[in-house]
Amino acid sequence: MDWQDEYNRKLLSPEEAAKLIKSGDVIMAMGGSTDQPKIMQQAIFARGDELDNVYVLHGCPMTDPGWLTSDLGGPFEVDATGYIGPIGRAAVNDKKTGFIPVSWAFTFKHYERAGEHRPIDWDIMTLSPPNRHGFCSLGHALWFKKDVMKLSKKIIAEVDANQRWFYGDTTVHVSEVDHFVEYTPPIVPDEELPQALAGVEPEEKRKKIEEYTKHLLPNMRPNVLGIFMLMDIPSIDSLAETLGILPCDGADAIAGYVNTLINDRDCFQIGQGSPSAFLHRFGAFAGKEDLGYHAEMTARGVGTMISEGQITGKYKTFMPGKSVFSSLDGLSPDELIYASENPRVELYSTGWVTAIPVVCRNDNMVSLQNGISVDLTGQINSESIFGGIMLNGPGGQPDSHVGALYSKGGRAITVMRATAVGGTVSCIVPQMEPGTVVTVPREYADYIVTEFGVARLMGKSFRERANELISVAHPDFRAELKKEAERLFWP
Amino acid sequence: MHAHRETLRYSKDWQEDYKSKLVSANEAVRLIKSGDLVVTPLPGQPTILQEALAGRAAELKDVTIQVSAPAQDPGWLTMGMEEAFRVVVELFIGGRARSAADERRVDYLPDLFSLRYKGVDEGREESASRQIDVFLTPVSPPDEYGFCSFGHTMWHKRSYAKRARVVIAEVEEEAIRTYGSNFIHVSEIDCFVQPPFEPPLVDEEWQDLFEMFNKKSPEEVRAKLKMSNARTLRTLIGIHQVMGEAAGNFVAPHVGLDEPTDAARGIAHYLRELIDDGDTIQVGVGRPSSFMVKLGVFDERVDLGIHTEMGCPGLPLLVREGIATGRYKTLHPGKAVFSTFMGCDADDIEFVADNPAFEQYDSEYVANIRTVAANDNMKSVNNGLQVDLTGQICSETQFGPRMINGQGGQPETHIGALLSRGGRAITLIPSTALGGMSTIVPQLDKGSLVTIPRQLADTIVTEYGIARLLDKTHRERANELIAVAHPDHREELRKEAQRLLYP
Repeated sequence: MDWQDEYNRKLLSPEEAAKLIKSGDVIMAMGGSTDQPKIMQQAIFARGDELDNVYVLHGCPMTDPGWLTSDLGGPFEVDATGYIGPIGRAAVNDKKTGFIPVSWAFTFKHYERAGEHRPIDWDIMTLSPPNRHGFCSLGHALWFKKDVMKLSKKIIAEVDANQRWFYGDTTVHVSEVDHFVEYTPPIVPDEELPQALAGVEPEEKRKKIEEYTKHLLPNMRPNVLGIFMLMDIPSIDSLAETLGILPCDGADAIAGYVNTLINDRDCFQIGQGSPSAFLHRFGAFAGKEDLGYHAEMTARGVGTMISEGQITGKYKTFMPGKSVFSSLDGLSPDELIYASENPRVELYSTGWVTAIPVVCRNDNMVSLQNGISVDLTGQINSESIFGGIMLNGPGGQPDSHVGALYSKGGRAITVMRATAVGGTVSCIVPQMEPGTVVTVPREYADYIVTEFGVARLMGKSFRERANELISVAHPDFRAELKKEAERLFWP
Repeated sequence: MHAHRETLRYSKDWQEDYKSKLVSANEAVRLIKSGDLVVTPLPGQPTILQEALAGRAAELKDVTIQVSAPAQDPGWLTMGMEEAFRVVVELFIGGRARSAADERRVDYLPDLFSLRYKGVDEGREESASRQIDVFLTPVSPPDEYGFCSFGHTMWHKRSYAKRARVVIAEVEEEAIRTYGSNFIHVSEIDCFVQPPFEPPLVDEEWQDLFEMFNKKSPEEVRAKLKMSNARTLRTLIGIHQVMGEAAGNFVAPHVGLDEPTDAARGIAHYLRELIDDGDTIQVGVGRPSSFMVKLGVFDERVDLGIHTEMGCPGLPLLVREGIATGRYKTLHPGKAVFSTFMGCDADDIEFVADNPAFEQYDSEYVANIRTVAANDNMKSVNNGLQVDLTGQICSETQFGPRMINGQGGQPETHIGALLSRGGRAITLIPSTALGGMSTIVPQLDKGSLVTIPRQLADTIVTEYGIARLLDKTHRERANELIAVAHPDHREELRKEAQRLLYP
């Protein structure tokens, strides 16, 4: 059949498509953090009065039609899987949205097992309009889109004219999708920002929002603008830090120490967040040549390193010459345009990109991830604060970290600030508080970098680890930590 | 000595070489200098070499002794030799070193079989201090080609010998031979010591052993100990003399003479549901996993495969019974792969000697997660001490930071099983411990060590059922775990779950 006819036949309005959802259905809304389906989420949420017991699973939720913050027992039950992110954080900690603590590589492992998983009725996601062969692009935020399509009974796709094209395994044919809904979210170009922000008071807040928003992808702006407007100034700064816009204190010193751990020809991975997002800006890779890249996502600067010839992938032992991603979330708007339809850049499914046996196929694989706290034995927490408050999920961190260690010459680097909450608490702690989440167990701990230096933990005993970590703690806390270490590890 | 290593391999002249390297234990340990790093492997361990080294306490300074689950204490685990010897425990702590660990007189090195020598091999400057100077190991006498075996407890001995500057071997007449890479050539060893002839046990000594295990018949005790040499048996008698009545209970689990608890029977009942025909299995040593084979968990299955770091009583005999054929293994098909037969009982060890159905490889290879994952339908069976309601598994500590054991190969076999196509990582946890305390806890105590992070938690089995955690939310995990908790604790756990995980 001619694909144009097929496309037209499958085309519905959002309301028509939402009508197909029945009570008791399971919906996956697993798009990338910058291109999640919007109109379909709204259309389904609008049917709340008619529906009952509908289960919705998000990746890292970046839009909320209202169900993240709804009280339990309503028509929609919502869970986030793998990663929480800034938008879902409050809902998860208020325990209105549930959380599946799983790393990317094992997100769909249970689908191997009969009777141990929820069959997925609907996959809702976004893609580009079809090209002349009837193929659509899944965009710059590929993530799990292909896996979810394979596991779902029916697929409803939002056709977004702003989705770009990329190399790798990034396309689907019109015949593989059940229903199309055409919706291109509004974008806010730089020149329309003042108008969009008119009326925001005080002026300091308006200026900050305007400045930060310019660093965001245009299709991400309407959503983030809404969130910024509800926040006070410290929260706005904090979100800007998470989004890789406003550098944290000490990022320059941390980048300087990371630079000493990176060699020419290394293949690396950078996790999302702070301070990792600022490593490139502050020179962590300065002077290094022929680097390679293999990671599920990325940080600002990696696109520039590709375009400037610093990342060539020439010496990668797996997929040489290619920079491999699962999502380009994290790049600046200009970098994203550069990566589109660029044969040096390929996108593949997250589960595959982050699988330990795949990660370790590159020799000299270096993982660069953020930590929140580390105890004196080397247990690394990258997810929770004050015991049980969840900031994030494990995401790709544990698998990229372990994969890097299994790579010949590989190194797993955890970057973190030595203190938090305005310098009042040490992030290097004697022991983990009850409720703290351990993301990387201590036997896999390797390099920890703070603004005070590098702690080398691999192959070190408890006492040696404590000494290494105390030497990179904030000087104000060293005496206290030494006392605690003495108590815990010496007779 | 090093120059000989490669040139004399396979040479017919190895006898000369061997003879020239035979020295007394006291002469051998003179190769150890102040400041050296000396490693003794996981059991079996050399006995007279350790004693001879401890005898030099007055002459030596700052020698680091790296041990794992030491079976003997030549003096450095107790007080008085701190000037000469600094003890570091790696991988497993074991009963013998536990009080030294409790009193923090020994340091602990958290490492993994497969990444143990990453830093040294890759030339990281910070790992220079981990370079082994001297490796002390037991070996069998050489065969007609000059190859010695590491007996039924190969573990990581070959990989340690490969990396040590000096290898000193203690010859153990009774050490069996197995297939696989369980060999080391005379040319690769720097010197050999021959323990003095140990006369067989006399009747009074056997009587002492029967008394020690008085819950078992003398025939059974004799059968379980038939593969142990006279020196080992006299060590047991020594423990009996020191510990008195408590010795029987202390030693019984190590020689397969203890009885499964009701909780272990209940766990076996549910574990059976999780094993399918054609699976490849790994069974950890410890309680309750060690009882699983004898409790018949695998008896109804066909064509199982074995790929395991350690053994447990009866595991090798699954091959004899035709249950474990290895037919569907995707790595080493047809072979049962172990890195040690430690944990197995005497019948098993008798059966694996010279048996081509079994192969021993170094733990560095067997426990590497890439090796584990290369078998499809890999089912790992390990023990946990505690699990919190989000699924963080603690297999090492109690009461917060008190270390009962090290992580051993658990993280690697667990992750490897998850990475295997069709694989499953199973953790056995009796629902209560220490006289009724729940092992399923709302949150881990301060200072607890997390052996398996929650994103890797998979299937937990207690005597009350199976909790399936993979890809479950926090609330679903709590419900799954509360359903398999001890009934006396469910109400309290429910209340805590409500507080922690609901609005």
